[in-house]
Amino acid sequence: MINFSLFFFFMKYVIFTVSLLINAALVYVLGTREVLPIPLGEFLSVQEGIWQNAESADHDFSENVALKDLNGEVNVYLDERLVPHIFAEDENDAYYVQGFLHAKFRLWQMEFQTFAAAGRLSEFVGDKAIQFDRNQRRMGMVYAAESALYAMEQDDSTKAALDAYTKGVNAYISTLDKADLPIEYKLLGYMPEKWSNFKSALFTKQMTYTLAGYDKDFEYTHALKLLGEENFQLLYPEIADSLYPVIAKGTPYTQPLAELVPPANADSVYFKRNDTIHIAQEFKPNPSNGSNNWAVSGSRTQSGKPILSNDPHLSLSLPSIWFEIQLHTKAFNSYGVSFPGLPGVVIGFNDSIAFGFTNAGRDVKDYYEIKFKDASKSAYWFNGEWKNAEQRIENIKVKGSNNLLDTVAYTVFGPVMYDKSFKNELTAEKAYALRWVAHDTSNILKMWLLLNRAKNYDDYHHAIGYFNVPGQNMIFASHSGDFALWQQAAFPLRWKGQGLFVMPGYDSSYMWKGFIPKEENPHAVNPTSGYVSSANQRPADSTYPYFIPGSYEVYRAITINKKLDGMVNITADDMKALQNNNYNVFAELARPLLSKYVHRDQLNADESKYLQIVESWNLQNDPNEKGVTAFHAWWDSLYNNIFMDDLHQTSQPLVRPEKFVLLEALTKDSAFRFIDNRNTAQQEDLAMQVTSALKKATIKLNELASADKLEWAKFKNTTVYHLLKISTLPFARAGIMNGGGNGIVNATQHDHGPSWRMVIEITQPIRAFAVYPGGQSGNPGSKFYDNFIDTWAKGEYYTLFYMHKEDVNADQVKWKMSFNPVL
Amino acid sequence: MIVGLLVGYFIPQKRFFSLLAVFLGVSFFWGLFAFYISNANDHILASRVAELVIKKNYPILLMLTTALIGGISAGMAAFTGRSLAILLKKQ
Repeated sequence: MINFSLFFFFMKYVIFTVSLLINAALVYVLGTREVLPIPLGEFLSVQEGIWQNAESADHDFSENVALKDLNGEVNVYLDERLVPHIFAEDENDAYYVQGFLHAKFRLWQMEFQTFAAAGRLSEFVGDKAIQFDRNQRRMGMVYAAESALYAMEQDDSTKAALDAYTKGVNAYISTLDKADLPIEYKLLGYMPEKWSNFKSALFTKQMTYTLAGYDKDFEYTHALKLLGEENFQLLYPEIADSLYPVIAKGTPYTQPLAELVPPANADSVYFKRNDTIHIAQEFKPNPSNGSNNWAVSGSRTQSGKPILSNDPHLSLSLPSIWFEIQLHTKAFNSYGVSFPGLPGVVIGFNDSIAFGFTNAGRDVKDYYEIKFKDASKSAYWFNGEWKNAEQRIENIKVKGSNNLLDTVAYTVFGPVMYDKSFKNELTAEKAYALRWVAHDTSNILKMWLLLNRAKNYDDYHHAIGYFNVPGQNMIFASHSGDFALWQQAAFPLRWKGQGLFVMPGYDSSYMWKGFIPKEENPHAVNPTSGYVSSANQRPADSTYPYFIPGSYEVYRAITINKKLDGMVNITADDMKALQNNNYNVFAELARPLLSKYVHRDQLNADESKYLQIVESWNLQNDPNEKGVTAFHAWWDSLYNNIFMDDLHQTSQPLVRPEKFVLLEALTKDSAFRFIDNRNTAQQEDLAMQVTSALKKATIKLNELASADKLEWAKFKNTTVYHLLKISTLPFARAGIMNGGGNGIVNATQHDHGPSWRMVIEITQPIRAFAVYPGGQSGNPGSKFYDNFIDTWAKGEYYTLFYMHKEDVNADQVKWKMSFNPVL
Repeated sequence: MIVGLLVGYFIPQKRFFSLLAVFLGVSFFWGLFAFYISNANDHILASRVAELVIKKNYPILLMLTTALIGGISAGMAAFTGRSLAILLKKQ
């Protein structure tokens, strides 16, 4: 008996222990990220997990919120598209509530973007982001944000706006419990931290990187060495023959007081350097980042008042980069899109004026070769002596691993981005410092805060004077009838050729010579043409007296200007149609060349079929057109036939010559020197290359046809990715059937394109139309997450509800949030 | 899980019955609650998350997974709680 009871006790003990172990295993598997990529137990918990992010379709957004430090009552009226219309007496109260609402609807995105800017992604994604983070830090993003913060906080009104905004974001964050966290935090397993003015500064630098962070200095240096100066000029010319500049040809320019000349030794040490630089840059912003804008004079519109249009082209993302908002205060009543992360309206209008932007694309980023004294990187050779380099130690936290300390040396130019510690291929002696306008102190936010309240041209002109980077074509039109465009920023003053290639860093004569006086930046105010426009093309023709390298588009501007030239009695509908214009002007110019040179007698049935498809195509990049797919396959093959044998002579990275280069070269000269394939014994001529290109394209086109992807929209597969890209593909919208493309006014590419389309008729009352490919809520569990995409894809617009005090009971108002000061 | 543990500890019954009862109870509650939330949401979130987690756009599968995970966790906790209670019961 005794033995049995002992046995039972032992069994009870075993059962308990085993069940405890199973429990522990369940906690380990379902409650941590050690076994599964997400802790399923926590993740699917109905109390705290993702189910709490499933917003009821009839969710009531009305609420009363008490906030500390609010100066007065603020009412927010949310319309049926979830656009908040903030009514505050005090403008800082408006920014306070703007911060609260940005956080309420877009908190994860706001943090993610500023973490990316600061090189902190490794903190929650682990060591796979280390290279990215180091790149951001070494580029001086944090340093740049610090200098921006300094400038913004020196100015009382900017500081007050930022302080209020930050308080609003933090007021919202403090209301959050685990269940309320945006779903991305639950997926990735981290918590939001407090917002700060510094994070807003970081956001401005992320935007600067996106728009003015593209550089070609290393690639151009490689290309110059490979090709020699003459061929380099042929492949990378400064100006396209077909340029339709922002400022009309023939506009007179003031000549600078003194001519800028290169240093005496530039020919030997800069233009004709012999050594090879071993640098492959891993990260670059998308060179397609750009925009269209135009404003037409009242003399050309049906209403007699100006119409302003703007559509910025950026990576298409969910949550969208933009958040639509209205700010109504005693001082102003502005409406448009804002950046979650900054106070104010960024592109929009008020009672008196409308304003918008396109990217200038000017080169404001150069590299200098640095020679360190030794591996400590504490001194470098400059003007005949060893000069001390400041050391900045970047502490990169890495999830699941030790912190990584990265030492970055700072020179007179800026941070030494590339050295042996970052790029193995470099020797201890060679390193490269970055000179970038983004590092300089400037308070760009002040421009936006002033534009929100601007009433006329003078106010606009005053406001844009505060803006230094990223260079923009700032378009303006007013109810009183003025319209203008300034290409504005701090643009370096350079001698001809300066900054195209990597420069010697030991000699101060290679430094920038200051900045082009802002009043001499290209501009047009009420020109007789009756309109101003820009589409990322070179701002001025060759008579502009400064050397202005950059990355410029050619073709969108041609379509826009030709269309505007021919328009009279313009209506908002005409402007919407122009924003959605799918005409392919590049193909109009290139197709005759293909038709002329192809050997028709050498084609098989399939090749002839595609030739026929290209030749009968209506030159519209419409969704169902096959001609556009066939044309591009053919042209791309021709481009590769002609250039790739030459460019593949080196393993160093090069940039591809722009497509206008080949088109204009072949149009002028059918014996263009790059036509022959240097890898074959025979001498190829243009006809042989055009024909062979069609044959190669046919193979690809047949593959596309068998996959039913010949129609342009199916081939292009427009996709709005979630910010975490393919890792959260179900949070994206793929397979959007729309037209457009690179070089088309409707600039929609696979995952890039018009991120906000806006047409503002500055009548009284204002008539405003706009749409963006996303939704107001950043929550993938909300019906407001992507509800604008279909409207956007069809080229349709929403009529904006520009609200006034008397509209509080209007049908459009669906919910009301009341914010009151804590007593 | 804690509720499961307490239920198991304090409600005297056979260990496996304890597991089964709590498993069924919690599964039913979690499943029903998930369905209730998801239905009001027109299954927008469940469709997306189902595709993300189980690679199938079937919201119902996500609800069943939720029910199963809630049930197993709580059920096993109840089993452990009961085992502890039995172990500590006076001989």
